[in-house]
Amino acid sequence: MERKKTKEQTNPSRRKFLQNVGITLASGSFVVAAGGCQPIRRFIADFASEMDLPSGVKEWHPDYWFEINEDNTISMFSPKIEMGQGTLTGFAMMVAEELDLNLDMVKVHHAETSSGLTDGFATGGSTSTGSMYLPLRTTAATLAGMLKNAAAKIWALESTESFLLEDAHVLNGTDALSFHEINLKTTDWEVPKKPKLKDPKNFKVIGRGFRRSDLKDKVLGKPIYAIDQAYPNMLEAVVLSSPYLESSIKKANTSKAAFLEDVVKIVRTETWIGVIAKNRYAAEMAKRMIEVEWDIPKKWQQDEVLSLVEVGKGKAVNIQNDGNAKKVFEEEEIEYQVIERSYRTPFGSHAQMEPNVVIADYTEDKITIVTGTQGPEIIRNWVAKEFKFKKDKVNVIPTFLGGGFGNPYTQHSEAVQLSKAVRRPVKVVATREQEFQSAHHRPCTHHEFKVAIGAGKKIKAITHNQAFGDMVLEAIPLVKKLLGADFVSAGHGARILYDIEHRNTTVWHNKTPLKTSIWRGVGCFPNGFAVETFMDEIAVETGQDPFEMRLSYLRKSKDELHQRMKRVLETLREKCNWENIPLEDKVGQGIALFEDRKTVVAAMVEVVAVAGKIKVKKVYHVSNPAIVVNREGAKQQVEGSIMMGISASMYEKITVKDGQIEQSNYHQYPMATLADCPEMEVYLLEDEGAKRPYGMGEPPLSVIAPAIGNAIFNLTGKRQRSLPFELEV
Amino acid sequence: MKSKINFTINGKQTSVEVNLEMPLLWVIRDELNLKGTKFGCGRAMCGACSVHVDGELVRSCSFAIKRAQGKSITTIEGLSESEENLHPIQQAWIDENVLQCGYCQTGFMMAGAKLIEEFSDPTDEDIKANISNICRCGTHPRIISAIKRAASLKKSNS
Ligand code: FES
Ligand code: FES
Repeated sequence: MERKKTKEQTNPSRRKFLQNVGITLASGSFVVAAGGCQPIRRFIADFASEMDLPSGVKEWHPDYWFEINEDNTISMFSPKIEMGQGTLTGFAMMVAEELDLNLDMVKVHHAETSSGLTDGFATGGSTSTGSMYLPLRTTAATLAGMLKNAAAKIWALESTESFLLEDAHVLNGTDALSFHEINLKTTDWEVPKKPKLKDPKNFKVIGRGFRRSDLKDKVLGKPIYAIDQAYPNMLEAVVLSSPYLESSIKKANTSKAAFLEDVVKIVRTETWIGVIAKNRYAAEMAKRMIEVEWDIPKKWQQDEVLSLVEVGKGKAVNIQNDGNAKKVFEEEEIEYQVIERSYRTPFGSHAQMEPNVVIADYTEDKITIVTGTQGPEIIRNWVAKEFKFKKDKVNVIPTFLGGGFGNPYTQHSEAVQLSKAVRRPVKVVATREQEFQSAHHRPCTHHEFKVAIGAGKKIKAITHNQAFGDMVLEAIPLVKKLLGADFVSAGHGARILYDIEHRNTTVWHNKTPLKTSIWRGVGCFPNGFAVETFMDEIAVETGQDPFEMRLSYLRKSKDELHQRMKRVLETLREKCNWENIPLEDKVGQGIALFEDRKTVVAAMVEVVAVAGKIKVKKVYHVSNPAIVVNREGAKQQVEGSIMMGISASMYEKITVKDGQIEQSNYHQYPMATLADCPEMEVYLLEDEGAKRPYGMGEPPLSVIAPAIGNAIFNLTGKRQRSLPFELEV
Repeated sequence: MKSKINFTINGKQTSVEVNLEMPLLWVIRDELNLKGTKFGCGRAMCGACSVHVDGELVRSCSFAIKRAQGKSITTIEGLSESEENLHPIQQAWIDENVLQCGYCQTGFMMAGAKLIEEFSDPTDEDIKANISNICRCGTHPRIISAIKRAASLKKSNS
């Protein structure tokens, strides 16, 4: 595939950095102990929720990361992908900070897998900013040290003590050398043994608010997404995949399609048919002319699918067992008030705006793939395995993504097979119908809770059973055997964090006929909804203030998480002026508090009824990710989470009928629009002395659904126990 | 069956030879190589493909090219005079740091540009009632502020 020149060709300076130096910064890795019994799984569940997730990046030498350009700007290559979450801007800020650069002097690009800068973890889990915070700053500081050492050599000075960095120059008194000049004059780089990181007290960039680095390109409509890429000789293709669950092709007649003008080739496999044409329109029209009879082993109905995901069915794993909840419920001497409730969340679509696009170029000795994906290295490895190529003969070139939200990587196999069939680059663009009917969805969940309330309205014991469809485990059999159930993603957030003497949480894992996967926030979307709705029900049943009641279970002064949760909740109470809210009949209020990978969030939502329908009027939102790198970026993530939370809890639902997903396009899958946009007040808190930030991509979402549901109850008296909410009043 | 169609795109006279039923979207993207107009749903539901045809807001995925004969089409690439001298809507988008993934945004800007032609001083309600495009990233509050800002930029420019 003819492409713009590679980095090596355009910039010889990159090679110059390739000296025999190597620093490796441990970025942690997710090691799971062997063993199948409950205590070990509980330990892993504890461990997985407390741990700092790894970055997945193995190469930290500045050589892989930076190039110094002729105009004295710095190019940075990122193995993490920009899908709208603002990661690249945050990275640029960290680099600008350590190199004392203006932000616009750092140009951030995605790294191709062949550059060696890859990421085995993939972009996700709200980990990018947090896991890269220290390593990336260290890499940038290393580069700063290398430039200073090189300048010292040029000036024939012993010490670099007095050197300063300014505007991409090394300064010593009145002498100045630009980074570019230093780069030209240096062949032998000296890497500082202990690069010095800036003291946060002296930060000039980190912690402030900056506009996005990709803003102007996106405003101008520049071709930066996979769907925009074009190569000489490239053909367009569409894939006909079954709209039925678990089905394959019984019979197909492609003869009419094959004769359509501009159609080049039709490729048929057991499960899909690909149409390759000179333009997308022809490919799409030809696809519509294919007559297929599908082999549908079972025509699933909605009730049957839902009945698979129920507490008591599938594989159970206990992930929290403090005290002895069972004994409390069996106690006969003491009369407890017992409350039992159950909740459900539906299957949901990612509905990201850019449909999945893969361009593949298969040649004798290498495979090139251009795609928008959260996991370029993962795709590289899968393609290498499937087509029996060495990994270094497969190059995945990631582009900007038109939305991610955990949408998995599909169609690379089809694209490579199609390219192989015509030996030309082939671009496969999914239709929206495929995105709804043949792609992966967020699994549905079922939750059962029970509490025993004793003297002084105090909760003595609580149990939570969560059943879910799979998010990631079915794809990794070994880990499935080890963990038993996917509590690391689908069951994430199921454990009860409030300080209650007897707590017990069990998750139930089951397979459904739908293809299911990670969705923004993994388990925190359903668990945030279920746990925080239940807390509200307890507060109402026992006649307690929802803030006060929650705070009464966050009293452990030694528990850092409890302290942070308390602070977030108290801040929210103050910001929304809870004590002085007038008792108006026409506005309903609801709150929720949650924690997701150490970011603590809380929200107060106000709802009203407009023309017989519930609308969210205002959202107060407080989050604490310990450190805020880019205030603007963090705010955008909160606003986006509020809108996605409104959309997913008030409108969205994927359902099954006669073996098919019923929703084929946006008209059957309503989503929030401008008309749903409420007033927002967004607050960001930080922890003094924190070492690293936690994520902001997903955690802010966890509180939206429960806060809305609780507000609806407050307004209408109708408790909302399943999503999407009942909006008619 | 292909036929020749003549029209103006971003001020330039042009002609293409394509199937008359081909949606304007694919002509713009693949025949004219202007990639700022996006494909989202193909069924006039998301607005990602919005362009102006003779000054009217059109969802180009559902507008057969034959209807463009003799018309004047503007896409995001033709909205501003130059990259330095931006249309008020694009300038406001930058000022408000509106976007996230950005994929839906050119469609929103085309809709916003049309809206400020019709409403010189749009309220939140005007904007909410007149633009039904979809954005999954949740940039809605910033879109509303940016459209209002663009309207006032437009007034102060003229
Ligand atoms: S692509 Fe045209 S409206 Fe969605
Ligand atoms: S900015 Fe991503 S869909 Fe709107």
